[in-house]
Amino acid sequence: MTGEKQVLIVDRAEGSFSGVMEELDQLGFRVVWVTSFAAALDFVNVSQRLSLVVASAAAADDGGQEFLAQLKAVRPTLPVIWGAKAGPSAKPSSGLSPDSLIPEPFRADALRSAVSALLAEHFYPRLIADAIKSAALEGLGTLGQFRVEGDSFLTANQSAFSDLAAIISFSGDASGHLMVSMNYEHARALYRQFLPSVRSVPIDRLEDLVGELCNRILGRINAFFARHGLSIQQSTPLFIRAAGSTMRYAGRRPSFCVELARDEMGISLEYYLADYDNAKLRAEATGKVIELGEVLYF
Amino acid sequence: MTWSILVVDDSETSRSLLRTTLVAKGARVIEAENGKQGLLRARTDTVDLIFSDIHMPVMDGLQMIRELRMLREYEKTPIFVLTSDASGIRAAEGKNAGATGWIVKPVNPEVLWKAVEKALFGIPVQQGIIVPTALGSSSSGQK
Repeated sequence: MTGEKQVLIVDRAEGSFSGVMEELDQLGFRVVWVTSFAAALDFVNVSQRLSLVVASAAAADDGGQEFLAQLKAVRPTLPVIWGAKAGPSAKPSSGLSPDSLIPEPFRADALRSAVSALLAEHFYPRLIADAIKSAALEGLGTLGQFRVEGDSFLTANQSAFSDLAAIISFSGDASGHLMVSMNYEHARALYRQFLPSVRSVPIDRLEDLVGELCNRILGRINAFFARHGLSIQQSTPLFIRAAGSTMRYAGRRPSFCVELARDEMGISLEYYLADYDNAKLRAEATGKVIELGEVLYF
Repeated sequence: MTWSILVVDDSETSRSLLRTTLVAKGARVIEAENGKQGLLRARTDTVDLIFSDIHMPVMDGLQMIRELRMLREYEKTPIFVLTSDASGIRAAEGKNAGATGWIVKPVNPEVLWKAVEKALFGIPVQQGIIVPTALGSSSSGQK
């Protein structure tokens, strides 16, 4: 795993960033605050872990274009979020543009959304993100044509529960957990599809169904890691019925969330990767995996 | 002729799916929620084939298979691991434990049934009463 990621905030005063620093901290970033563009450029030149620059509208107005030009000259791929004042002058009129403009005062959800869009790859490289999405669709494969809706997004380490949720933790060369959740109505519809002959389905069976789907999806995600030689052990599901409640868990990395949809049905998937053996993952995929539909005889 | 198949899985959903598939093919299905219960069922009943998950509370599937293989009557009984775990490393552990084969969930019921047919075809049924020439089509006795 790479070291802690850093976010550089440029603002003359801390005011615009009340609450934002905490949000970035929860998303797993170390926040560094400077009060001038000169100090910001100094930091950019020495920091190898800098992932993002966020500048307030007040700072951006005062030499922002020049700073942006110098920044992009030394770190062309480093994303920049600009605070935008309300009104017609919110967007820079000419020259370079930041990668994202969000209104000030910053709202946590707007900032999280912008950071997710710009930095998802830092936490969940495309290889892993694609594997999670493919695994989710494979795990639900016998239940029809689901699709990933709204692509994917990051969320800080605080999960919001639906009616039914199942969590399975895993450990080994990669560790973390997968949570799958859905509401009663959708769980009943899926159960009827699985077992049409069962007329009345008690809640504990619906819960068991969610656990089994979680188990299957995590199995497919772990198959991706196994192809790269990572050995992962997964536990048995834990079940939670606490609609409207939230759960906080240890860890400073965000979770990777995917909404799966089919017709009117929705399933939420939240994958939290606490740690993994990055060197093994980057190596050539040579691990043996038993494919779906294959019966391996010994 | 009725085949007795033991299904060991902590997920009721998974057991129900298997039961539906196997009963439709004429098999008798015995169920257990974990490896310990699976051992008990195998000892108190006559079982021709076993499907077992591996990640289960109380006793996992591989431990159950190891213990079953130490029993004379289950030395050669086909035992398939049916799991979401597709790791070749884990499958090798299954082989060492004495499993007959490894199948990854989710699985098409027809794939599953073909595995049953292949495993039971030509293999003496439990307690040596029946030696089928084809699954469900020819038998030399009654269980």
